Amino acid sequence: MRSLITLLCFLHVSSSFAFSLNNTVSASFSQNEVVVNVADNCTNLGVSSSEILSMVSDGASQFWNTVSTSRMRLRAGSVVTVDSKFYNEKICNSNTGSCEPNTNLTVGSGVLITCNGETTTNFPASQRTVLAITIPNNISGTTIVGALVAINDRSDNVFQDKSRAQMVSIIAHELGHAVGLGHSPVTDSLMYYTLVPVRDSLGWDDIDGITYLYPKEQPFGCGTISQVDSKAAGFAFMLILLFPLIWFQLRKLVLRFLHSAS
Amino acid sequence: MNFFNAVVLSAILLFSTALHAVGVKDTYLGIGSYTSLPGKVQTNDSGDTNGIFELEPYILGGAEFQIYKDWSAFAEAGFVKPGSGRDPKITKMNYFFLFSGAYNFMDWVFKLGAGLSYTRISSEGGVQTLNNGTTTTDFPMPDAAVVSQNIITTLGVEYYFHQEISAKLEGHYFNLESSEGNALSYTLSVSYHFGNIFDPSQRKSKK
Ligand SMILES: [Zn+2]
Repeated sequence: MRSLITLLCFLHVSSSFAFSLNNTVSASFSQNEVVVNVADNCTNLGVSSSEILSMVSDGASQFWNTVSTSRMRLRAGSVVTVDSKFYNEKICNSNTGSCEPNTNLTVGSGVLITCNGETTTNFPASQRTVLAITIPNNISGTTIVGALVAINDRSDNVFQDKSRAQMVSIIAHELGHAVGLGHSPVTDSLMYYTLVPVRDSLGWDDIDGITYLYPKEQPFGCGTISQVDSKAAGFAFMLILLFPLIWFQLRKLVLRFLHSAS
Repeated sequence: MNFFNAVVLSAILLFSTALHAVGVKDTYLGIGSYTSLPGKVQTNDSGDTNGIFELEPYILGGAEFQIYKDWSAFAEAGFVKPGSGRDPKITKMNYFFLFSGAYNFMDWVFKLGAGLSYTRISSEGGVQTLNNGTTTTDFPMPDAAVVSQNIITTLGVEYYFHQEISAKLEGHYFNLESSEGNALSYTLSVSYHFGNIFDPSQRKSKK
C-alpha cells in the first residue's frame, strides 16, 4: 500500500483529467456514517474547536451528504482532547511525494481533525500557505479505518484570514481527502486543489468521485460493499419484482395451452 | 451490477412483456432526454450551476398492463447514452427500471411508481499529475467500474396527442425515505405505441 500525501494551497494548476484518489487501492470507509472529531489544540486559527466542529457539520450538509448516489454520510462528532504528539509531530515519516504515515498519530476510527504546529516537515516557512495535510493513516486492506486532518496552526497561517464560508469549504475539501479522494483538475470541483471565488455546491467530478468510492446499494447495502454484492442484489431485486408478473403470465399461457390441446 | 446484467435484466423485462401477451395492453419504444440533478451542481468557479434542462439522450421501452377500468400498470426500462463525466477520462452511464401504477383520463395518463436507478462510473486507471500544495503529485485514478444502485420514486404525466404517439414528463426522486441525499432528476420523452403486438385485433385500441 502506498499512500499519497494531499495538500491544499494557492498555486495555479494546468488543466488535466479526472477526479482522483488519494491512495492506490481505492480505499474507503466501510461504514456509511463517518464520525469527525475535532481536537481542542488549536491556538492560531482565530476560531474555536467547537466552531470548527460546527463547520464540519455545515460542510457535510452543504456538500458531501447531499450526494444521492453515495452511501457515505459525515457526522460531526465531538471536541476531543488528544496527545500533544498530534500537535508537535510530523504527519509523514517521509514526505517525498508519497507519505509514510507517522504511526504515533494513527487515528483509531473515523476522522480526527487536529491542529498541527510542526514547522520542520509539515509546515515549514516555505509551506506557510498550505492550509492542511490530510491522510487516511489507518488503512486495512482496502478499508480506511481512520484518517487524520492536520490544520496548519503556524502563527502566520493563512486559514485564519479566511471567511467562515471559505473555512467550511476548506474543511469539507480536507474531509474529501480523509474519505479517500485526491484532487480534481477542474475548478468547479470542491476537490480542486485550491479555493475558488465562489463555492456553493459540489461539482460533477466530486459527485462522481464520492459515488465511485461509496456507491449506494439500495435496497440491500448495509455497510460493507463489494461489486459482487451489488450485482447479485440488483439481479435478485429485479427477479423479485418480476416474479409475480412472470408467474401469472406463465400460468395463463400454460392453461391456455392445455385448453387448446384438449 | 454490470452492463451485462443490465442487458440481461432488459431481456427479462422484454421476456416478461412477451409473456404478457394476453394481459398486455400496449407496448412502446421511445426516445428522450434525461436531466440529472437540474440546478444543483456547480459548473464553474463562480458558483454557477448546471441547467434546468440538459440534453442527455436516452432510449426507453416498456409495456402497459390492463388492471381495472381506467387503471393500468407500467413496466419500463431506460438507458441513457453513455458519456464521459466532467472530465473525459471518466465514463458514466445511467439506466433505470421503473414500475408504475397509472390512471388513464381521456388523453392523459398519470403515473406513480418506483424503480431502480443505476449510475455506473468507470475509468481505466493510471495516474494524473496534479498540483498538490506547493508541488505536484501523481494521484492514482480509479481503475474499475462501480455501479451505484438507488431506489427511486417516480411521478409522471403522459399525454397522447395521437393514438400511437405520446409525450411524457417523469420525475425520479432519490432517497425519499431520508432527509439527506434527496435529489430530483427527470426525463422528457416521446414514445411510439405499438398497441398489443401479440394480438392484432387489439391494436390501435389504446386511446
Ligand atoms: Zn487537497
